[in-house]
Amino acid sequence: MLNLVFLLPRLVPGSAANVLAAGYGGVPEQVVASINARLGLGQPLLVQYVDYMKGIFTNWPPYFGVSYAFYPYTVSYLVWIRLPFTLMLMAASFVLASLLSFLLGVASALRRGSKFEFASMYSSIIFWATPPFWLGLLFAWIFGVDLHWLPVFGTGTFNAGAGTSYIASTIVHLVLPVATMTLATFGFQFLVLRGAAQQVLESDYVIAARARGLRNRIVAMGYILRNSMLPLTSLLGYTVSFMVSTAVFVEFVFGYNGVGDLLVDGIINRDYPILEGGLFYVTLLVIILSLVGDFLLLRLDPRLRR
Amino acid sequence: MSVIFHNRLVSILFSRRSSKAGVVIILAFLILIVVGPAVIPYGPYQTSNQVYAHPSLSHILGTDYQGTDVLSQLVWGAIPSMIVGILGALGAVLIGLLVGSLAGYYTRYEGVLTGFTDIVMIFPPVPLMVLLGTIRPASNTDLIIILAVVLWPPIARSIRSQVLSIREMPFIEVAKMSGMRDSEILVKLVIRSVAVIAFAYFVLTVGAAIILVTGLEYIGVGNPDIVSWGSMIYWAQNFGFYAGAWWWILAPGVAISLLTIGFALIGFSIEEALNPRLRTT
Amino acid sequence: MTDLLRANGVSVEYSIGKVRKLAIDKVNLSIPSTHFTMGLVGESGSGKTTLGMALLNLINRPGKITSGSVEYNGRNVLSMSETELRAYRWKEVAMIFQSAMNSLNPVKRGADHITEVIKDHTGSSKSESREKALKLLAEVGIESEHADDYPHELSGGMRQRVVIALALALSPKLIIADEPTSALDVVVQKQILALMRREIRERGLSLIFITHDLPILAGLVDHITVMFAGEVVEQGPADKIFTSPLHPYTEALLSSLLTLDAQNRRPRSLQELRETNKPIAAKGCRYQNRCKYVFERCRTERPLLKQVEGGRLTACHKYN
Repeated sequence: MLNLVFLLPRLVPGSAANVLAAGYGGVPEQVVASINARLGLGQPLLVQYVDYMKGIFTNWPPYFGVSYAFYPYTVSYLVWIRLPFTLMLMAASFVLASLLSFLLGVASALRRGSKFEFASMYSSIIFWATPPFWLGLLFAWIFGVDLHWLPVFGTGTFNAGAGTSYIASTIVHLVLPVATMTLATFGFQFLVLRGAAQQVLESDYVIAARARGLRNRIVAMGYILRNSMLPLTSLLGYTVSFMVSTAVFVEFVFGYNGVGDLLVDGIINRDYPILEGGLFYVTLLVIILSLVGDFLLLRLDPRLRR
Repeated sequence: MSVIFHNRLVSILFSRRSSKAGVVIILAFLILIVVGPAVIPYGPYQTSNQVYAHPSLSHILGTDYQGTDVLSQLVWGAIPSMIVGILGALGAVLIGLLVGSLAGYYTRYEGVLTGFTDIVMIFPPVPLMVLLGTIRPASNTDLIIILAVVLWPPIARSIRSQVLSIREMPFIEVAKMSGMRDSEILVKLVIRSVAVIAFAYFVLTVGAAIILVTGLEYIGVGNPDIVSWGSMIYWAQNFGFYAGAWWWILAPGVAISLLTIGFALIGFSIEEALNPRLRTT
Repeated sequence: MTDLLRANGVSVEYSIGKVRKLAIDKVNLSIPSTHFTMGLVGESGSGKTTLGMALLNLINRPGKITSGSVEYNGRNVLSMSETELRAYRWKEVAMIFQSAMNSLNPVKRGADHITEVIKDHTGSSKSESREKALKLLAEVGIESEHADDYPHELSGGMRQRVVIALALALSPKLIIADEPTSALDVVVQKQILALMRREIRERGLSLIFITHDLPILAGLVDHITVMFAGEVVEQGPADKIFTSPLHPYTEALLSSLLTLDAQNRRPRSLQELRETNKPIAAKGCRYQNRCKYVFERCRTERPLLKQVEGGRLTACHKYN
């Protein structure tokens, strides 16, 4: 599977070549002419393709061309600047969502049939069903505009300089986006966890553990949680993929300067280099994280070790 | 065959509180879509000088920055979102059913198919959809295809595990011994057995599809000139936000959430019904 | 003098959807003291496992205990609080489940299971608990190199040894063993049975050995209880039951063997198979449709468990 996975980034330039060929409809004439001259786009397609691949693999950071809209910045530069912000957003949301779904998942599995389980089940459905971009908007409205508690747009005042005030403003700007993404991800994770927990609860070793008179907390953590986590961990790649997609929307809503926002700008401006480069980076990110997930899974489930 | 499926489905749907609620919601939306255009006196593109009007008797959901009635936008905008979502999910289920059953039934192909499924599943959909959507202005058909291509892997996975357990059941053995060809068994027995749960997956996928579609509309993929729920949110954010037009912001979002919740309720109750361990009552 | 463990009129019902099944019907069982070994035998569906679980108050959804009480030294187990149950379970009565693979936590090492139980119940330190665990494992025949293996890395026999060690960990007074050897091949089966026999005798424990395989009980237990369709149909000393069974069902169980050695058991004929698939009657004696002595009274009146000779009970109209 790992072999196939490494093929993926190579697939991307394939579609990019098509895009290069077909994409001129959205860009004004004069711009096309000048860009053509500058970027050597007038040359035969094959040459372009080879140059393109060369640019990606022989440079570090990989060269994807210059952004149309943010000319003359290169795509890679733009992505690298924004990457930390996106990573912060995703990391924070992931941790919070996981914590939340673990706690609620195990707690509600133990209290089967109670109002607690009912409430957590249905609230996770609601969060799963609510479009994250709208939820973000709602939060922005309530907390930003109506209550003026939290800033709504951007990632922080860059001219606050380095140091604590910069960090503080970054964190403050993170709150709403993280809250939105956490809830969206939680909805998804909780549902998976719940399914797994139900199955674990019925299993013999849990009954045997109870028969041994082990304390509830030990049973909950060491047996139920530990084993329910496994399906979730094996879905880590998918979860990350899901989160990346959600991040695109959330960043856009909040004007948060992350990679996702960059991508959206790319669409609006028909900025193909950004889209291609962005897609590559995003895919790479997902692949790396899913490998991490596979690795974690191996460590957690001894049955998979050879 | 479809009669049995139908009966079973109906009996499940109407016996549980949560699925009844879901059905009610979906029906309400359908009625709204069908009846709405006839009943609402305004068109979705019709501007007026009553801009930013609060919800009132004449404009039940208020108006937007151009004086267009929000409710009519909602009703008209439902159609692209819903239809694309449903058809996209349908495509996804068909592909997922095919891949999943083949992977589950034929051990020869299982490794390849599963690996393929996993790869597509990990591939982040949105950036890809965005890229594909901007090659040329995406028509609704394009959106449907994109949705189907992006949403089928989870279905394939679930169907595969179902088929794996069905494969071991005695009636399959019996069918084999009585001389049925594998392809026949697959089509007649296996698919029948998973039909109901596949429907549950379909319903849940419709929910996910609707969220994805509206998200794309929001970003600007697809036709930005047509009124749709996603585009409504976009305009609401840019023109209604600081104007305090909460009704404009609220309406499409609530609509999307509600509709998706409706599908989710149906989907989850079917799943619960078929898998008693998931029951909470 | 109160019995060590006693089940009084216990009934358990399972309800799945609209279907309700009575798994055991007002069953009585008593283990008077330690050093008392009893075999509980019946075919699948007879309720023997359910009874075993009920003794530890382990019956859960979709099952429910609908009547009766289980008394341990006079205290009703079924009405114990969580704390009391914790003190009762494992310290006084331990259980060995049918499939060892399923009763061990797949992400936990073998020795850790035992360490965990000791630590949680006695408050000993982790290292002390582990020492005891390793000793126990050595006693049941698992050397230290395998002590830290995960369940899936151990063979079936070794897993069962771990489970046995686990049961002995807190020195209980009674062990309930539910088909501990059914999933093992015959050679390993003999080893495990020998191990159990030794440990039980050396520690003077009481034992309830649940099985569908009557011959295993020979030489293992002193008393036998036979169950059929949720009821006790015969009870008495093991040797008497083997040599002169009272209830027709016990007879049938014995007659399906040529000798008591499991390896020589002849395969059942189609006739026998057909007979065992006959339905269980709703009215009258539950065994009537398979009984070769059946007469009028069996159809209408349910036979009660009565003493026939000294220390022997049976529920059959032949002896009324």
